Amino acid sequence: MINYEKYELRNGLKVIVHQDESTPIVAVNLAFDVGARDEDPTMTGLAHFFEHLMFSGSKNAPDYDIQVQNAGGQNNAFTTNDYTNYYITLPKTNLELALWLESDRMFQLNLTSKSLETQRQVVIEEFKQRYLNQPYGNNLAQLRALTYKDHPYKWATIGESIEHIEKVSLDDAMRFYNKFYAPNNCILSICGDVEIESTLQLVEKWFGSIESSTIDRPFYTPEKPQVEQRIKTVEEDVPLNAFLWSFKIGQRTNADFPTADLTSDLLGRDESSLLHQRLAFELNLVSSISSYVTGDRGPGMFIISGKMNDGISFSQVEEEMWKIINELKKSGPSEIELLKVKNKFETAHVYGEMNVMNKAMNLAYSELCHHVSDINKELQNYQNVSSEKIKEWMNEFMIKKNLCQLNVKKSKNG
Amino acid sequence: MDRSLAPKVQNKIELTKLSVEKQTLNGVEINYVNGGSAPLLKLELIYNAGSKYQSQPLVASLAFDILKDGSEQLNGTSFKEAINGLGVYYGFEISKDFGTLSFYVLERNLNELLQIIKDVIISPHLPEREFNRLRLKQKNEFLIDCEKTSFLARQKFAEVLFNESQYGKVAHYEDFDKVEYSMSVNYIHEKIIASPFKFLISGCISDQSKSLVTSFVQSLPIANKGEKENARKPKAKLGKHIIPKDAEQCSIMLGKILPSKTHPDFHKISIANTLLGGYFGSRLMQNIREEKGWTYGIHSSILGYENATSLVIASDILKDKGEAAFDEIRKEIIHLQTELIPLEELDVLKNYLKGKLLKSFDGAFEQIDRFFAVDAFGLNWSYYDDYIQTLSHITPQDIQYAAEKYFKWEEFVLVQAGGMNEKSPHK
Repeated sequence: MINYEKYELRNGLKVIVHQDESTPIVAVNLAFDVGARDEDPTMTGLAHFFEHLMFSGSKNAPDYDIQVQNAGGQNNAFTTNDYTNYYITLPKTNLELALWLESDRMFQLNLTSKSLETQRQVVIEEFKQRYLNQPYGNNLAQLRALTYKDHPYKWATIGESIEHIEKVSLDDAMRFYNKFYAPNNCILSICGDVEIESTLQLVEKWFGSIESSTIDRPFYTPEKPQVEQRIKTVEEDVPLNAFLWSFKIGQRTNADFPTADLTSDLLGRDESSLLHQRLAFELNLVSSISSYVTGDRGPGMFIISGKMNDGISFSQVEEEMWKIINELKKSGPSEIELLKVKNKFETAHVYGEMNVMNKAMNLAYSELCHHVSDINKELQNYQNVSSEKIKEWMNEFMIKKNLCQLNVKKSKNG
Repeated sequence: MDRSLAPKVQNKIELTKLSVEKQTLNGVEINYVNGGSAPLLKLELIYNAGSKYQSQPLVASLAFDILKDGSEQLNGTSFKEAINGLGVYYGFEISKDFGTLSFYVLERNLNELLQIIKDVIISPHLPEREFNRLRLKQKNEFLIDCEKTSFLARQKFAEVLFNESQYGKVAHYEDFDKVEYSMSVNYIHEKIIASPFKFLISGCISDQSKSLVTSFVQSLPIANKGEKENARKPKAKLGKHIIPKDAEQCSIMLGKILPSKTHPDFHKISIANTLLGGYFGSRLMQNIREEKGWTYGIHSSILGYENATSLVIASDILKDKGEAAFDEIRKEIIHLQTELIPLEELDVLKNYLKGKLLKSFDGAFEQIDRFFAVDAFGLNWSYYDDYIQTLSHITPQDIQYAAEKYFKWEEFVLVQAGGMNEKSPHK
């Protein structure tokens, strides 16, 4: 249970404050409602590229990072298909500095062609380091493209290709900033040993005068219903054959999301999961296997992926996987199996509430997805999932015509 | 309100160090760090069983892998269902010095977990079939890793820097055929069963939890001393080592041997390292990422093992900039040695490190890590007080001194993987 206070400034900035007297550290988190799904399909990767540019400095604080370091702080950011998140932790005495810095870069970012060019190169190197220079590094992006044909989730946050990143101009970046980086498109959360009243005064002081803007959000083309199973095989220079499956599922805020999440835990969360027990432990068909749900604000994916032992065929693995899935569809998990995944969820949940940075991120994200109060209903929602619900859910979603399957075959010379 | 006036920053920190309650029972040293209010505990059983003790590569890591099959009483699927059924997150892992069993457990399930742990460490179930499966799994992972230039660089770096020491022994493809089931089983018998361990417990610990821990420890049949052994002294193979590979980027890794944490200059070296490449504002990050855009990141760190300490600089970089990056790193080191750090930059560095230290003491789980990081070297909490003292008083001359004395370029080993396919490699 996290206690919090929520306010909204006249310019639309939502503020969530949570008091935790046990720590000398304060966490400040800003979630902007802009992600890769908001990009122009001809210039993908811009939301993430822009995240890098947010560290270029602002009118009154040309040296963002140095200011944070000088206040004893640590900061970073990430971009997903749904949103862009910036966070700082610093000694609680320096909270106001963080608010000053964040408000200044929301208000008047100082973009130069020098920083644009340098960060363009950095992002291209990031693209290579994380996606291209890793075996299997690009497979998730390929699965995404196979799963979504219409919806902007079809491209990865890093972008569809390096060419898209190469063509971003200073004007493109400024337009993106003016369009999305406004107080009414942001949720600010603050967690730590802070006093609510004075914290809000500080927020008002630094953010209150920033003007809101009209957020011109693109229309997210809905995905047309899939009518049959999609299978794609790619050949790559990898040491082991691999497979990635995705079943299309609903969005995070749907009532059935905890059911989907616990189903993925039952099938592939850890070594005790059904798929791991059967395919790795008993039959020795795969070297690794796991499953999870993406938990997006829009239509999500239930992903099962694994790497196969030498000499095992794709069809052998498929057959065994369907056996497990179909058994679970038919009889549902036993009480013990269900209690296991609920207990693991609870441990992770308790752990997640032990640290102010996690709490600040989760509060803001919860508000972004729907409403901050959802955060305190989550544990109960998971406890309420029954074996019957899991059966029903699986019979609706885990069917062949809802499946997109990527087979990664090692090339002959590999 | 005037935006051009930055709010005042306060840089005095006060570390709240929780007390470490020590108790030695039945040869086992228990350390409690009690704090927080969440009903979650972290348990760590730390054995002197890291890879430096093994007769050949993979023996120790496979030994700890196979322990995950459970005990004679509860094994295979039943074991995994039982421990996960309690909602426990666990890891059985080895480092160069230690083998560690770690657990996060809800307080209400502590008693049941302790029973499970006890069975595993007294009478582990060690099926040969599972050993073979895990060996194949590790081999597959190894094959995947070998496609990564960063992995190839790291392997080579350990070999050349820690040459002749156990710390430099890394696994090669053929080692997967040489390691045998009986070796890992013997390892478990020699190093785990009947051996004492260091027991770290952190979180909100009730008296009841303590008495459960006490009876658990007292019931163990500890029969040997589990003594430490030292790794041999490394004889670094200086100079540059190249691993050709056709890849999108090249990975560089370079470094040298340093004095250990117990050395009086260590804090100064550590601060000089942060300036060089230990934070976002570091000289290397500013030069090679923020100025030149050659890389997504470059980092310099100090890795301390029981019998050797090293400086490690690593980066994945534009494939034709490997050579140039070495040169830039050398220039930045020479710069540290020949020019005093401006006072403004030093202030930022000191303030950053104070905040980082404060955060690293935030909560019982963090504090137990800080405790073990010094305890493993025979040091105690005063290490951090000395560190704060050094941070408060360090001068530009101190940093220059540390860089001159401890970052000598001719003592570096350099490794590059990838990015050289256009030339034939030599040396």
